[in-house]
Amino acid sequence: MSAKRALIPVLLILVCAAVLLAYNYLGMAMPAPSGTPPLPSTPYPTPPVPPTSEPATPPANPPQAAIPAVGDLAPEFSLPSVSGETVSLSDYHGTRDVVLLFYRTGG
Amino acid sequence: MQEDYERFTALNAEIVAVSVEEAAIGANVSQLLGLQYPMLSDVEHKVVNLYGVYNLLGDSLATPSVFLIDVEGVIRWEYVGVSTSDRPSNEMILDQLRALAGSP
Repeated sequence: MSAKRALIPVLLILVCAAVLLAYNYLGMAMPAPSGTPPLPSTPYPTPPVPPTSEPATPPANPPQAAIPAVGDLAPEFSLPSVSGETVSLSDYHGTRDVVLLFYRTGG
Repeated sequence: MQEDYERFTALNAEIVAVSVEEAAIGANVSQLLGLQYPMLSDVEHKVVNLYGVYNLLGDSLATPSVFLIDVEGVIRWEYVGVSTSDRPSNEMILDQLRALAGSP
C-alpha cells in the first residue's frame, strides 16, 4: 500500500512530462499563422553606453571608523532623543562623566 | 540599568544610550521601562560609525558596548561586546566609575 502511494507522485511527474512533450511536438508541427510577421532575426540594437568618467555614487554613509581607544578624546555627537530633545556629548563636558551605551532592543 | 540609575547618578555620571533602531521602537521601550536617562536614536548610523561599533556582529545593529567618558571628554574605559548578549554588568561599570573618581 505504502509503496503504491509512493509511486503516485512519480507517476504524476511522468504524466506531466508526457503532456509537455506532446504539446511541444504539436506546437512545432503546426505551421505559424500566415498573418503574423516573422520575428526579426537580429535583436534590436542596444544604445551605446557612454563611458562614465565619474566614479560610482559614494555610499550613503561614510565608512565606519575604528573603535576609539582608551585615552582618546571621545568623538563628539548630537542625536535626537526618543523624548524629542537633542542631546550632545558636550552637554556633559565639565560636569559629569558619561556612560555611553550602545544597545539593541532585541537583547 | 534602570534599577541602578541612582547609583550611577550618585557617582556623578549620566547614562546616555544610543540605538540604531527606529525612534518609535525606542519610545515604546522607553515608556515601557520608564527610563530616566536619555535614549538616543541613531537611525542614520552616524554615531555607531563614529565609535566603530556598527554591525560588528553582522546583524545591522549596534554592537552592545559601553564607553566611559570623563568630564574632560576623554574615554577612560570601554567594553565592546563580542556577542549579542555580551555586555558588562552594571557592577562592572560602577566599579570603573569609582576607579575614575578615585584617580586624578
